[in-house]
Amino acid sequence: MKSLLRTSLLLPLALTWAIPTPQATAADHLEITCSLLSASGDPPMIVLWVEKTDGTFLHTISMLSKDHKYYKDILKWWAAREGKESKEDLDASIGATIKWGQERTLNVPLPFAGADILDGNYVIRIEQRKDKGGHYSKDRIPLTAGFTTAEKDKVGYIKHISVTLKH
Amino acid sequence: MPISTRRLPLLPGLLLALAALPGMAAEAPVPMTKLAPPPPAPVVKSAPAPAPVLAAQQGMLTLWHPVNDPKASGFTVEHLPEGMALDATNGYLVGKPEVPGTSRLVLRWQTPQGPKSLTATVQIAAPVNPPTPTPVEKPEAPSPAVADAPKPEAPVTPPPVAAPALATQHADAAKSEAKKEEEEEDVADPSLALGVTLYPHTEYQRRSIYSCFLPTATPLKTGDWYYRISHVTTVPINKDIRTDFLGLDSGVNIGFMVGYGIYDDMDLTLQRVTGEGLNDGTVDTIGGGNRFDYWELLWKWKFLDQYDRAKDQGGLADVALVVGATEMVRNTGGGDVSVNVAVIAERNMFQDRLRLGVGLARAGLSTHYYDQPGPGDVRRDKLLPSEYDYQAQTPGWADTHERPAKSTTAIPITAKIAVTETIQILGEAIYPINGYHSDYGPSLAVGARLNTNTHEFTLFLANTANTTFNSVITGGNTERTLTTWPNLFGFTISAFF
Repeated sequence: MKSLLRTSLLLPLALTWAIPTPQATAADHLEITCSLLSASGDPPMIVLWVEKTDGTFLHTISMLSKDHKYYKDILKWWAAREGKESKEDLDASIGATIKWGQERTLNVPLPFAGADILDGNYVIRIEQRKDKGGHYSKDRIPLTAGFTTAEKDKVGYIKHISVTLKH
Repeated sequence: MPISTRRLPLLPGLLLALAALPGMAAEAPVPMTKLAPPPPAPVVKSAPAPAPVLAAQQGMLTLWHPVNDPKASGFTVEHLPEGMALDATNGYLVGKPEVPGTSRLVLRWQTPQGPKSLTATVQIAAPVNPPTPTPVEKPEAPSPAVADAPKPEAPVTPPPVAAPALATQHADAAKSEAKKEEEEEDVADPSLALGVTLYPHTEYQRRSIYSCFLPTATPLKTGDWYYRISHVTTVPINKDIRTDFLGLDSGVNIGFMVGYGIYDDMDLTLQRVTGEGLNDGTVDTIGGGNRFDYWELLWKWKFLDQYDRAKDQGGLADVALVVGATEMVRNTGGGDVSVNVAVIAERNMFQDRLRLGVGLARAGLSTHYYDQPGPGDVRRDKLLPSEYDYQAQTPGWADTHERPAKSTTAIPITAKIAVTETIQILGEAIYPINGYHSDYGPSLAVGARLNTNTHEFTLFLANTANTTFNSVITGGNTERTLTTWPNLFGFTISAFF
């Protein structure tokens, strides 16, 4: 008796769970491809990070240099992340310096740092600095609502950068 | 046959399962008692979906794809932003919006179910420009007459707070934006601004301010400091390999140099080099024999730059003027001064792999010191004027000794090959063409240089241990080429700050 009661209650549940319901597909990462100019001397330090359109720092995407002692010279980024990003998070985002003429691809998972950065309220910031060279900190790539791809040429030492939504 | 009570629990479960399947809900059995029909369900109007937004930045390449329907076709658009275009086959909007502002566009397309459309808000942001600050209205100060007058009994209406506060907010926001704009000004790399092709080895090819002996056409960058330590042996490297390592255990001419970039394309260097014994009859009151040391101050100005042209590799050469003096400071007081001047030109070729240099150099009072015995053990030192005058006091000496010319003019030639980004092979030859010379051909040096971010390390072989401007241009110590042993070993360590 009890076993039949149990079966009668569980069976509909099993049937309902067995039937798949349609779900919407979602993109899973942003692919950033960045290539450097052909130039001379030490290559620059490059950092990319995400912040809100009002300037609130979210998270570093990648710091393309392992020279920790010069991180404080990347002025905009270093000031923006102060108190908002842990050392562990920073360490996880550090990558090797891109050499002159080389290309590097970075993947930004979505959501990023717990935020939906494609809701139209975020931008990707880029800052570059080279010893005895230039310092470029103004470049931005807005992540507009409905974002699919964006690209730019001649961004400081960067020959070409593209950001593409990938599944 | 009556329904068994054992089957009753199963029946509701099956009915529930059937009800869960879409479109297959089973109707409940009609009860015996007729019930009134249920009231019609209220119509619930769902909130309309928010209008899509195309948000972009003026001048930035933008791609927008609002319709994700593989069966959609025949796209048309109204009020497309300037600078953007529509792909009619797939509905992609792409381009660089030219005009900032807010507007609306209407996108239409065809589907098997019929035509569809959407209206989107377009928001094109302009590059960051601070808004015009709104002047803050200050309340008028009361006139002295009013202030001195007795206060009215009626309560004073407090001045409005909202308007000045809002104006202050606008002014603060404007200042913040202006400050942000000022803080965000990029500092362009001057090497990129030249518009020439730069190779990985270009920077180190154009960085050195000295070859082995003489200045190059490259000055220090403004505000940069520099030092160099040089050693050149005075005995050949194979004199005694076991106990005199490369000649370093014997007499070595040591130089210490400090440099500073004083202005654009301009620097100063001060060098002190081991001097020589002096035979001019003066009394040595300090002890150790009469000697002098070299102190050399040179000013360099690069007035032509090979890369300071609009077109790629279109310039002629880097050309610099070098002016300075070498003082031979005596330990007995006083000294002799040589006024030096040179014009040096260097040019990069073959994708900056080869850097060739040539110049013209003149020392007003040249010297030459020779530590190896010459043929017949005749010293070939060039006597300074005071030394010659002292020797000439000996009767008959001047009859057999020619007074040497005071000055020397020479043509320096340099070559530097970038083997890798950081390693170079370099050579230097200085041909005296006028005035005093050693009779032993040009001064020669050949070696290798390793460059790092902040240092240069150079090893070389030479046929002269004379290293100052006014001594090295007088020619070699011995009539030897660099392929003939013995040769003198030298090394320098330089650092850039």
